[in-house]
This record gives sequence, structure tokens and C-alpha cells, in this order.
Amino acid sequence: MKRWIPSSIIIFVSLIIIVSTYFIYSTIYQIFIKKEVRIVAVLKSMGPIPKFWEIVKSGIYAASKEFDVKVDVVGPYREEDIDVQIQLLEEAINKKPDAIVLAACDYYKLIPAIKKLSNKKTKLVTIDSGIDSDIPVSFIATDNMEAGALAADKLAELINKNGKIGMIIHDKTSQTGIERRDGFLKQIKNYPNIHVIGPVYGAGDPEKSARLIKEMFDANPDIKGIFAGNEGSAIGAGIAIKNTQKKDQIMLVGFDSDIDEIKLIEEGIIKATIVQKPFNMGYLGIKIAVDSIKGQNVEKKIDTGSKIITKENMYTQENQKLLFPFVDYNY
Amino acid sequence: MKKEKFFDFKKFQFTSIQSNIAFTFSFLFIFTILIIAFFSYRLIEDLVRKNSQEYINKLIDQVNNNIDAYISNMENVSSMLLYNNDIQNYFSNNIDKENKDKHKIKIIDLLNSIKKTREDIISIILFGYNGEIITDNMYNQTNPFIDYKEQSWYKNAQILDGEASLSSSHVQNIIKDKYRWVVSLSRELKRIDSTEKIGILLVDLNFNIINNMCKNINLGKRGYIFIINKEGDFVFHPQQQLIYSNLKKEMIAEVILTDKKIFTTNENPDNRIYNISTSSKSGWKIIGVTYVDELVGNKKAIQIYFTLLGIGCLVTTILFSIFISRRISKPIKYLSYSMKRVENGNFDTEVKINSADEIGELSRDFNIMIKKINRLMRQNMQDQEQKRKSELKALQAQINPHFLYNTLDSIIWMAEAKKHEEVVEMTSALANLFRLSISKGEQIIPIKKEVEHIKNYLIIQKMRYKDKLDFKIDVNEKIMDYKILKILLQPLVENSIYHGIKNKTGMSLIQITGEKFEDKILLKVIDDGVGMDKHQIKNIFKKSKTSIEKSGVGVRNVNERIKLYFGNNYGITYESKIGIGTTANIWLPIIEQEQV
Repeated sequence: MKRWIPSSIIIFVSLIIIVSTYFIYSTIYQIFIKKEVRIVAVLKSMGPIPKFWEIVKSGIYAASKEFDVKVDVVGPYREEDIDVQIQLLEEAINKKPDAIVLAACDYYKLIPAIKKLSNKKTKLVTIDSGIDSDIPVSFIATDNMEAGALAADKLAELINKNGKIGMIIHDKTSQTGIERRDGFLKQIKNYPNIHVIGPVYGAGDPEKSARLIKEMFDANPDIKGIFAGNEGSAIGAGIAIKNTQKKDQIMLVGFDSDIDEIKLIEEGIIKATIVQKPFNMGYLGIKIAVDSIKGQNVEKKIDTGSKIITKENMYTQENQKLLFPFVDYNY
Repeated sequence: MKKEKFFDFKKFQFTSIQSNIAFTFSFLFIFTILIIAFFSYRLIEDLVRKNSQEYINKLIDQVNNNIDAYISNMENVSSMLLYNNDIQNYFSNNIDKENKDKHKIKIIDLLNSIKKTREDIISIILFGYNGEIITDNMYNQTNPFIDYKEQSWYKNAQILDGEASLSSSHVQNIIKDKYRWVVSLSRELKRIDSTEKIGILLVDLNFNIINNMCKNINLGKRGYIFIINKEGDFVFHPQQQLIYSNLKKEMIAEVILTDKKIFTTNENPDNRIYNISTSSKSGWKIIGVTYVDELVGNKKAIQIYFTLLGIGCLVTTILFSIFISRRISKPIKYLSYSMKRVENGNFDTEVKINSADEIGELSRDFNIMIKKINRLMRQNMQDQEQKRKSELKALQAQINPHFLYNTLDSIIWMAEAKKHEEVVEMTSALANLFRLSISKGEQIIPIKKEVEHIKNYLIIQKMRYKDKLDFKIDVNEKIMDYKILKILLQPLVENSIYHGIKNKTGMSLIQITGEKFEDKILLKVIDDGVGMDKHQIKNIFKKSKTSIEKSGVGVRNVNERIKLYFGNNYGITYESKIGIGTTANIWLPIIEQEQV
């Protein structure tokens, strides 16, 4: 019998086997080997207050559904619990997820934990508050310099670009405090007729802030406007203005959208507030992490934007969603 | 230059039955499987898609129905209150303070009880054009910083002149310190007895109900529901903020413009399918959004199923066809192996028959054939053996010692009697006889030599039986060159002398004749001796161990030799009559050349 007869069968059979194996491989790869993408989000605070983080979380969940990834959200109960966050971050790193989305409680203290990540495949994305490191593939946050500038323009407009204004900032150490202050001051220089008093630092505490503003009013009765750097500062300033007899003459521009602030806006005490977009922050944190896992190039810094809310626009379709993010919250 | 074929098909032709069958079977099966798999895959894919679309449509219609039910309920509440006596009276101008308070308490009770029975209704408020406001709760205070008259639900109710106005979802801020997401139904109140307008009725639906309903509906992993009103504003969207930030887009314009219940967006690669259900009551559109690639996900599951199925069938097919082809080719191979053994000389080969099919039949015929060949071979060998023996016997017969002794005796006598001439004659005859009989060892000789031989023999015998024997040879000259076996005639003549003539008194004549008779040669040895009866004739050819008569043996030997060489059509026959004589007929074939 001739040799090449069985060898032609072998060629035929092996061709079939190769083709079918390829199909099996590709389909099985698609379904089984390409396993679920896992992301751990380490947030600043898991408590119900401030609501900011609840909204970030809902953004994270929306993205996890849309991009079909599994996201575990962890974080300390209070923003102050830095050690807890370090612990949680280390646990997250040990789980070897595809990515970690981090909102850092501290600019420096998380670095040792982060360094453990540098050799691994896990991508790191920071949101809201960054860290002093090059490891994160992207930093997604409100551009607070920009937000401060926005507030400066609005306040200038409200006082017709002329007169004295006071400044109250929560602190001079946090990234938000520094950047909002500097952003504001930088922008207000464009208005030569505006004179800035302060800033004073009220630790974000309404009572302390109210006291400081009152002192400022006593010293400068001709103050026409106040810039408050966060919600506590704004509420404190609002209280102080309410207690003066000229609440319609002092223009207050605040930050964020606490329910007490919203009432003060309705009342007309706070003329404008700068709000961030925490939902977008959470959503983009996951989206960028997913893009990075897929190997796409991501922007190193992403501004989620901020918006000026006034009494006039606070109940538009769009702004209602920003100010009253949870339909199931009854204030 | 001759173009070389890219794929030489001839190389792939299968010359063995096994590979041929295996290939054909595999090819057929694979072809069939592919066709079946392809069509059933398409069918199932279609079915799955239709099913899921149908399911989504039903789901969305259900959502629509539920929302309509809530809106109907608000409408019913508003209709009920529209012509309520207390309300009518309370807002009339000519009523005293005492009655007014009574009506107010009744109204608050009514509103409160309605609210309590309906979980979906979050607040009911009446705004009188006279500036009075009644809410469903006595302790509610209105928000002093909000001008309700500027709210869109208030204005729309005024415009619609008694018809119900339905708002989109919004935050209701009328009540102090309460900011709730609602859908508002507002309606202008009129007097029953006149066209006088008395105020606005506001019924707020808790938006949580719609929100939860929509969020709890799963359209695949990534799909979702959203709702827009007639104007294209979002009533509900799970990711509304992303849309405002341009991080996400919905095809609102297309949804409003299209009449279709379903359409697919063109945003490669993340195409979405919009299933639209429009409420006839509110004009809202409920849109179920699913991702095309989620259906593809289903597709992949089906694909893998079919691929595995195909592989399974393939393996089975190949094994099966190898099995089948082996079953067919194995007995053929065995048969061919057996044939080879026969070819190599092993005639005892027998093919085992395992099947009743064509191959079995072939094997059986082969076995029969081999048996026949075997038998013929043995026969042939036996015949050869026989020939040798009979030739030996013929030679023995020729050099019969008795004859030689007697002849020599006769010569001696004749020499003593000084009959020189006769001695010479007899001796030369004897010498001729032997010379002829040696004949270089050839078995086949011309008739003339045989005739000469018998002539010499008869000369000798005649000289011995002087008064008793005479002979006559009359062989046709035409047959003299034909060939015959040697030493055919001598035994017959001897037989005639010893049995026919010796016992007869007086002169006897032996005649030898030869001629062509039809297609045979007929030699006759005729004597006029005592003759034989039928019984004796029979006995001549019978092999009897008791009989030691040499002549009998000689005749039989001649007969056997003829038959061995030329077949059963030839041989010796006897005709005889008692007292008259015997004729021996020798039938032989005509042989012109020496070919045996």
C-alpha cells in the first residue's frame, strides 16, 4: 500500500482539528477566560454625611452596571480615619483587583501602601483628592482652582466689580481649601476695584465661621461680599449675614449644596453656590479605570467640572438633580 | 512552462477502500452537521432575539400600565375633590368665619384620609385664588421664600382651564423644610353653579414609586429604562447627571419623532436597542434600552454550544467512519492475505467466513475454488505417478524374461540344427526389437516404428510357433508418420498368442491393421484364436490380484497408459466370439507432432 494515503487523511483531520480548536478557543476565551473585571473603590467616607460620598457611590454603581464590572466600595466611616483607610487600601491591594479607585484621605500618608502597588498589574485611579505620587494613571476631581475662579467671577458680578469682599476658608492645609482660596484670589486680581479682606479660616464649622464673619463685619462695615470656601463656612457666613440688618446688601457666594445652604439660597442670603459633580466623579473614576485596564491611554488629570447655582436656576431640571441627588431623600 | 497546480487533487485521491469510505463518510457527515448547525443556529438566534424583544416590550408596556394607573388614580382623586361641597363652600366669598373653620377641618380630614389610603400620593394641596392654602396636614407650613404662583404646574393648570395638567418629575418645595421628588397633577377648581374660578388643586405623586419601579427592572446586565414626557424632558433616567454633563447621550429627538416601537441606534460598537412604549394617558414615553452586544453575549453562548456539538459530532463521525471502513475492508484484506498465501503455494488455506454479505460469498467461492485446485493438483500428481509406474511396467513387459529366454532357446535349437539362415533372421529380429524398444527413451514414437517393432516381434514368434502362427501387417501408409505411445501393440499381440492361439490347434493368423477412423486412429490386433466370452473380456481390464497372468496385466497397462496420456475418450476395446477370434481395437488421437 502506498504511504501517502494515510498521511492525506492526517492532513485532513488535523486541518479540521485546527479550525475547530480555534473556534473553541476563541469562544471559550470570550466567555470564560476573559473573566470579570474587578475594581475596588476606596472612598474617604462611608457614612451618610456628607452626602457627597453617597452620590459618588451612586455614580460608581451606575458605571459598574454600564461597563459590566464588579466594584467593591469600601472606606472608613469618617473622613478623619486615615489609618482605617490605609488598612483598607492594603487589603484592597492584597485582593489583586484589576484596578483601585481611591479618594485619598491624606495627600502623603497613603504613599507607603500605594508603593506596594507599583509592580503589580492593578491600575490606580484617584478621585476627588489625590496623593503625592506618579503611580495613579489618572486623577479625577473638581478643578478647585477653576471652581475658586468661578466663584470670584460670580462675586465680582454680584457687587458690580467694585468694593470690599471677605473670604472665609475651612483650612489652609487641605487641598480643597488651598486650591479654592488660591483660585479665587488669582481670579479676583482681574478686578482692580475689588479689595479682599482675609482670608480667615473657620475649620468648616458653621458657628466658628459665623463668629469670624461677624468680627469681619464689625471691623469692616462696608463689606459688600463674602466668599465661603465650603459648606460649613457658607452656612456660618449665612447666619452672620442674617443677623445683620443688611442681608440684602451683602452678597454671599458659597460652596457645595448642603440642605441648609439650599434653604439659605431660597431665602436669598446665599446668592450663589459652586457645586461639584460627585456623581460624575464616581462614574468617571470607574470608566477611566476600565479604560486603563483595557490598555487605553487615559488622561492624567480630568476635571469633573463645577457649576454656579443661584436662586433663579436652582430648580431647573438639571440643577435639581445636582442639588437633590437622591429622590428617596426627604429633607 | 507548465503552470504548477496550486493544489494537486490527484494526490488526495484515496486508493484504499478504507480511506475512501472514511473520507466520504466524514465529508458527508461534516457537511450535514455544518448545514444543520448553521441553520439551527440562525433559527435559534432569531428566536432568542424575538423572544427577548417581546419580553422587553411586555415589560415596558407593563411599566407604562403601572404609571398610567398611578396617574389615573391622581386624576380620580382630583375629580373627587373638584366638586366637593366643603371645598366649594370654603372658597366661596359669602361665608362666615365659623362655618369656614368647620369646612377647613373637614377638608383637611378628607385630604389626610385620601393621602393615608394612598401610599403613592405624597401631598394634596389646595391654593385658593383668595390666597388661602389648605394642605393635607394641619401642621404644614408653606415655604415663605417660594412663590407658588410662578411654578409651572400652577400656571399650566390655569392655562388648561379645568383639565388636569401633569408635570414632569421635580422637587416639590411648597412645604417648608420639605424637598421631595414628585410628579404633580394640577387642576383649576371652578364653582359648580357658575364659571367662577376658585383656585388650583395640586396632587403630588411620590416619584420614588416610579423611580424604584424603573430601577428594579433588569434589561440584561447593562440595559435600563428611562422616561421622557411629551416635551422631551426626562421624567426618569438612571444616569441623568451624565447626560447633563455630556458623558452620555440619549436619542431623545429620534424617540419623539419615530412612530416605531423599536429602533436600534447607530453608535458602533456599542449599539443600543430602544423599545418605546407611549402612554396614551400622560403622553410619556417609556423607553427600554438594551445593548446589542448583550444579545451577542447570548449569541456567544449559542455559538459555543454549537461548536461543541459540532466537535462531538465530528469525533463521532470520524470514529464511526473508521469503524465502518475497517469493518468493510478487514475481510477484504484478510481475503487478499489468504490469496497471497495461495499464491505462495499454500493450498491448505481456508478463509474463515464471518459474514453473510458479498464479502462472505466471495470468501466462500474462494474457498471452493481453492479446494478444487487442490484436488486437481493431487489428481495430477497421482496421474504422474501412475504414468511412471505404467511406463515401467511397459518396459518390463517388453523385456519379458520368458520371452527372451524362449527366443534365445529357439535360437540355440536352430543353431544346433544348423539352420543358419534362420538363426541369422531370428537374431537380427531380436536385435531390431531391442533397438527399437530403447528408442532413446522417448515415450512417443511414429507409428511406423511401432509397426516395425511389432513386425520383428511377430517374426520371432512366428519362427517359434512355426506351424501355428502366421501374421499379416496392414497399416495404412498415411498414418505411418503419426505419433503414438510406444509398446502398445506388443502386449496385445502377446495376449492373442498366449490366450487365443496357443490353445488352438492348427494354423492361426494374427492381423495388425491401422487406419484413420474419423478423428481418431484405430489400430487393430485381430486373431482367429479361441475367442472370449463377455465375462472374459470384462476380466481383461479388471485388476485382479490373484491373477498373475502377465498378458492380462500387459493389456490393462496399455489401456491405462492410453487413458492417462490422452484421456478417457481413448483406449482399448475388445470384440470377440468364441471359436471365431478376437479383435482388439486401439483408439488413439491423431498426433502429428511430438507434443505430449
